[in-house]
Amino acid sequence: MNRSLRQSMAGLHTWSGLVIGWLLFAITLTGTAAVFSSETSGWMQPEVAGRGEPRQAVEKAVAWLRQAQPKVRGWFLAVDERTATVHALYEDRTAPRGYRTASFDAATDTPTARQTMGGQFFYRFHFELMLPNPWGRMLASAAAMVMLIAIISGIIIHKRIFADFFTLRPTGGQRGWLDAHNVFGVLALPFHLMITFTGIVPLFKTTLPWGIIANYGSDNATALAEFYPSLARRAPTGNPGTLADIGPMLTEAQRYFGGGRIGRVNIANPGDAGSVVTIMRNDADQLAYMAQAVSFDGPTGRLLGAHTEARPARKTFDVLYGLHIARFAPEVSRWLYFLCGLALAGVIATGLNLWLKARAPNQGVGHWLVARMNVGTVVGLPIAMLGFLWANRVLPAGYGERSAAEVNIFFWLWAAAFLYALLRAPQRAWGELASVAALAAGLLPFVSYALTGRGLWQAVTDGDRLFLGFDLVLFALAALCAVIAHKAFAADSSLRLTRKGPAAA
Amino acid sequence: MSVMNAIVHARDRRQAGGRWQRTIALGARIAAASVGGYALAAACAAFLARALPMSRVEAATMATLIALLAMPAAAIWAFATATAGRALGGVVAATLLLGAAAWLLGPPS
Repeated sequence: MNRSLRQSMAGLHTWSGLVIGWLLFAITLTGTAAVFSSETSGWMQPEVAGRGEPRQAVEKAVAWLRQAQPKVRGWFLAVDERTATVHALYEDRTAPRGYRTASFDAATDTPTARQTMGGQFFYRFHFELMLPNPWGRMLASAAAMVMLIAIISGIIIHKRIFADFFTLRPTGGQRGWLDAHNVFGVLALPFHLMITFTGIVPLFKTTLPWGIIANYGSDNATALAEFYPSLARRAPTGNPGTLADIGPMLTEAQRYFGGGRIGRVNIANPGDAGSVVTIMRNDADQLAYMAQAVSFDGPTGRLLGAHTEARPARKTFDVLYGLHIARFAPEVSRWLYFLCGLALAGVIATGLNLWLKARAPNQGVGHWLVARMNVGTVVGLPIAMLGFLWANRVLPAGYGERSAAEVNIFFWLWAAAFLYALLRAPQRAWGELASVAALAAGLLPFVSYALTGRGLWQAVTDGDRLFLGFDLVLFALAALCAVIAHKAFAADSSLRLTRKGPAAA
Repeated sequence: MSVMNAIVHARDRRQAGGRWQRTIALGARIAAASVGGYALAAACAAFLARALPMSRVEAATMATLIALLAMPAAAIWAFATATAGRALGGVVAATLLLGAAAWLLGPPS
């Protein structure tokens, strides 16, 4: 490989990585947290015990919606198999985001669980950055495309990729950081390439619609009908109608799924004579996303249509989508996704730090800013994410608009940490903020126990794997942050030693 | 380490001209990679959607999946190729070619 190609790819890799690094770190870390969004939601709604059959939870949800929300245009039920909970979403103009959710398990008649976005917050932040549609998605997709370019250029410049595979020289210097960057990158390289490309794919209707437009022009209705035949649409008649019993429809759908699990139940225009019930198979049943769906006429329960996606290109799309959101994954694979996601976050964090290490310090605004933005993002974001979980516990269950309040607290905390990072010397801020993160993670299980009564010991005796697992992960994160803080403090004090001499220590 | 040298001294790359010309050249490559890369991907998607011998929904999907790969390919090429002129010119030419071909094919019947 000639020197010129390495130089050009090195320049491309460095600068594209730097410009997009902070945003990508945020996308990657929240995406990694979203692997366990089911469990996060379960933890954030401790009132829902999550026992019983999900199917009964669906029936409870529909029963409540019939009498509580008869006039809205649609009920959207998402079945979470892992927590045996159904989250029902319905339009509500008075809500901050235009909709509300109500959570049910098999024993819930009236939803009383605290309002929260739950794990869905990390998921939503991950793909649309809590910005208005379509701008958030476009920005996230653009960032992912730049990441793909950064990964490919990184592979090109790493000419000794196999020889260096197990090299790690943790001297604390530039070389050590490069080794760490390479190790995180190369060990999970197939994952990084896969997750980046499959992350760009699902949003192509927003980001690269030109293939669709070339073939359909502005005929969105036909395009939608051909892309998603399972989403049968029927205009409301305007006449009132009563929705038939949902039970037989669920049975019929599961028969069509060959005994598969219910994933989503969408009811369009429930109070209308032309209501339509669409039941989709659970994404956990297969690799492909939204693989099968059945539709029923609402008032009579008569079958309207059923669709199993078998068209090669569409199925390829569904599988690529499924690979990214990983709902298909059994337990061990989910943990692998989580660990690889952390590795990718590590690639980005070490890369950002490497940019600093490769340049002499105190060399102008750029270096000053990058050093501080690194702290503000790499430690500031975890503090904000932990703060989101703290807010869930600290805000009372009946607090008004608490779902929006939790999100606001997330952003305020991140802003505060960022401001601290801007004002403080980076070598001190690293240790201090990492210590805050360690405390936030380590104390949360105890605070949670104090405020909800569901504690670690009870989780062990009850066999409550969700709460047990969540608390253990929090302790592990606390330990990780503590190690980072310790190393940061050690590096800072040795830096001060070398500057002022041993007498000043 | 030679990689670190490459990164820090990327400016050493043999290029004609002074600072202003180098800035223009860099700008041209960035434009070719970003705007050009996107335009190329769009043209590629449109062309393949009409050219692939499948139903229009299948072709549109397959075309987009392939076109999504065209963008990083264009970006890498825009920085790897010998001159900035080639980078911009190449991407523009390819885009116009694919776009014209898509237009000539016309929408599926």
